[in-house]
Amino acid sequence: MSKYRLGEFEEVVLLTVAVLYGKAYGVAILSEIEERLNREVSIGSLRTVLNRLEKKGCLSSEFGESTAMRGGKRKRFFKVTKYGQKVLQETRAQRQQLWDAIPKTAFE
Amino acid sequence: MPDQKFKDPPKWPSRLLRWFCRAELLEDIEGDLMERYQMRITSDGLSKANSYFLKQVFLLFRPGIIKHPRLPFLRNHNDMLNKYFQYTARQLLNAKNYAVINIFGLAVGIAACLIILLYINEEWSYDTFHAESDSIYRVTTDETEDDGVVRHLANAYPPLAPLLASTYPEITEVCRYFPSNLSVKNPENNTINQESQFFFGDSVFFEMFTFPFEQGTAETALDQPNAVVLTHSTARRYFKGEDPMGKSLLLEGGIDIKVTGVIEDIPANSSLQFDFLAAIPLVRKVMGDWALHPQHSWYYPPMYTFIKVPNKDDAERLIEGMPSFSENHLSERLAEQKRFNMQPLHRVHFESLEGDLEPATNPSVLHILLAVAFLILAIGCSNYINLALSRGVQRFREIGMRKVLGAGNGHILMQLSVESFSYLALALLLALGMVQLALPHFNGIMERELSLWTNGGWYLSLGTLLVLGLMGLINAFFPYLAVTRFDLNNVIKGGKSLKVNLNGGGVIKNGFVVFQFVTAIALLVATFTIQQQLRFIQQKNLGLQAEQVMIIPIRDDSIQNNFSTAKELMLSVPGVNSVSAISNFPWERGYYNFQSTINGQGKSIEANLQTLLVEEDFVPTLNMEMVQGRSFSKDFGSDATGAFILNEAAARKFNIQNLDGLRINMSSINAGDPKVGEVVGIVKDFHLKSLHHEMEPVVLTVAPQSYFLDNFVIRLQTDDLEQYINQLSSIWQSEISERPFEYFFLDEAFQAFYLKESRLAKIFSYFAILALIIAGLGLFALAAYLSERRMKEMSIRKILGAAVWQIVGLLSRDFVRLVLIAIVVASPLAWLGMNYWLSDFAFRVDLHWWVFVGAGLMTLAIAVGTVSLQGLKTARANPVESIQQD
Repeated sequence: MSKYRLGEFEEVVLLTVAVLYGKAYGVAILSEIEERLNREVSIGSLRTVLNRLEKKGCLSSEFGESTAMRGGKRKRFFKVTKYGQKVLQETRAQRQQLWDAIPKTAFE
Repeated sequence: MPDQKFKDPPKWPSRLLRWFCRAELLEDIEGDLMERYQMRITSDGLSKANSYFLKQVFLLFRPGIIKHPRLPFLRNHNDMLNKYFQYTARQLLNAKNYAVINIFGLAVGIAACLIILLYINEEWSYDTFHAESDSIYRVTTDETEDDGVVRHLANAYPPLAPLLASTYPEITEVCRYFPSNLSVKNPENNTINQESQFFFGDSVFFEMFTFPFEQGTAETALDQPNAVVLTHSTARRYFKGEDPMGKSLLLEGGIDIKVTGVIEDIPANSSLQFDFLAAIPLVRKVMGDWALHPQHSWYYPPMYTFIKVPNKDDAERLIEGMPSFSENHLSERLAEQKRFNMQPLHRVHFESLEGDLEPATNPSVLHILLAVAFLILAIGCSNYINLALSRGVQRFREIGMRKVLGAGNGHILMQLSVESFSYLALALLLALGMVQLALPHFNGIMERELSLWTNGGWYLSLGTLLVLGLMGLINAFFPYLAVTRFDLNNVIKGGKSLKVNLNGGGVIKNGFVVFQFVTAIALLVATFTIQQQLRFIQQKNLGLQAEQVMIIPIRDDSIQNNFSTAKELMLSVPGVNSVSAISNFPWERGYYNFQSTINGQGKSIEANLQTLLVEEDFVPTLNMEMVQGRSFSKDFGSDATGAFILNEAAARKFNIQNLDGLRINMSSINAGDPKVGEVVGIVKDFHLKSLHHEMEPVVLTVAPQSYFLDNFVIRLQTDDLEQYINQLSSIWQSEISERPFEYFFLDEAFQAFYLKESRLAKIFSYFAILALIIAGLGLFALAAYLSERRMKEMSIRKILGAAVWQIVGLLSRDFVRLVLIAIVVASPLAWLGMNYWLSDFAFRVDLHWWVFVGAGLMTLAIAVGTVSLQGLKTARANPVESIQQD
């Protein structure tokens, strides 16, 4: 069991970064979340979560290319670390365990 | 990515973002923002994109994104702080005398301030302890006399309160409050006393004013017409520990009253001070039915009238409308004479009105006291700053070293602050001790019962801490400014420019010294002048001899009816030189005024004469001096019905040189015939009012009936006063009256006029002495450091043949110059202030130049004394010792 427990939004962001493997930078993550989960996310809240995850060691980041659309500013690409991977898997396992434990008759 | 032209987002949100966003996050956040912005333009259009951009920037303003504020106090300095305390302790121990002077000076300043604040706090809290004090007002009267003189009276008359209540629905409660002086007896144990604090009040009294009840209830205590409420200590006096509730007390004339409540003793900060509060219907029994009559009591008795107006707007309208009330609701005659005003309860203590409950406090005196206390505090602060500045050389090296080792200006400021706050904390502790010691004495002077624990409210503590905080910062800031303005290299090398800087930077230092001595000199001048004026008052020829004159108030008709018997009885006591009587003393309710005509010598003057009704022997009893003519005498039978004596002021006013054929026709004094008679003499001007008042023209005449005479005036021999008083007392009680024997001495009554002034004189003299001590100590330390710095110079001078006095002179010269400047600055200030203070007196001393010179010389002497003490030490030291060192 890792000591770090993911919040719901953190989990979403971490998974999205994994989905966008190699192309995960701010705007891309935003669009992906908006598209898949149909929820409005502000740059501020996303960036705070990305920061936090990076600080915890779930994500790593490096600067990439810049485009004209970005006014010449570089993109920061995020990647899920090994630790992040473990946290995600653990989270999933915990969920699964809970799902498995539900008696069949409960949802009938 | 769609091909399109790049559009700049709105400028100021971007700028805002750049300002608050962390540098390491800024680039990609800004990139993301812009990319999203471009996308929004294509999808939603420019204006929606702009508002999206703005919203996103605001949403970015959150912890995790914004920079760490770079404030020194948010960083962790605990270890450094510990070090600073250590440095402070070292500084303190290194130069103990310096520390003692500093802490003592600061402590004295703080203590003076605290005491004054305690006092002022109590003054300002007067009458504010009532639950609804904000909505209580007092109705006062401007009464126009027949001669057009307007008197501002603190009270109104009995019918006004009910009339106001029925006229204005905004007024929810009205309450009359009426003082009396009655003898009260407990029939069970025969305790009998003359009670001067016996008051009557309407039944709402205890609902309007909040006085906590020990027994009984506020709502019902005064419901019965013969109810009386006692204070705790009065109840103890009369019932000695028995339960007073429901018991009877007897007023004079056998009026039976019933105790229906006991309240806690009245707090000192109340204008309403009473021992008894009886239900107002009792006034009828004591004075007669007319006293509360709706028509017949518009002139007497005067009653304090309080009203409650809960709504502020209503109250403001009422205050505006009150002066015109009498025109609209009273008869024409009354409206001409009386105009009413409304005064908020908390102003009662500060507005001086005739016939008020207690003498009012002049708010400007409070301001002056406050200013003086803060000046003393500032003198203490100046000492601290000055000594910190002059210790420069050592300190500057130390601080230079710290800077070399990496201390920033912030660190230096922090260190200096820790130092100044530590000194202040020690000073505060010392000051609390001083206050505790000095308060009883202060209370004695001001007749208060202040204590640090009961009077220091939370806001007083908070205020003190705020002021101390400010002081701490100021005390740290001046040395900080001086230190950080120096070039680091010079400081370390101790080069020539350091010394230049140190001596040149003395403007601040000299300024503080001048300030200290200006304050000290001004306070000295004030002390001298106030004391001079007091001595002037005490030694002024009053035109009568007040010493050994005993006054016995007559409160009993039976004495007046048998006046001559009582007089004979008292004259029979050995030691009683003469006995006379007077209607009233003008310092209480002024003079009687009688419409009169002065005839003779070809003139006929109509005038309203201020009159004193006296007994025949009044003039000789008070040793008054006749300028012309004779005093009253029983030998002239006509004196009793019509004879007049003018004072010199009256003679001047009516231009009277001699008495030939001069007659006065005085309109009826008591509903009888007019008093007509000749002017038999002119008496030298005499003072029966305080010297604040101008000499007024006065006429003396013999009282037509002895019931006008309300005070015996008795001249006693000087040798064995106590025995004479005892004998008088026993004769009084056995043969003259059943009432308690009460008396006072005329000269003591005169002294009481100047109570305010003599208090002020005492307080000022203490302040002046404190200011001088602190300033002197500061100067002493300053001189010590400066002469230490010039030790080598002086040693060389000495070797080259300078005499001791030359060296002392050299060292004192600068200080003498500063004190001289202080004298020049202080004199006009003190002159203005004292002229203002003296303008309150009709009879005053002149401000003499020698008072200023005296104060200046005294200060100069102290300054030169302190400085040359140091100079002597330097001059007499062995020069070899200081030169050898290098």
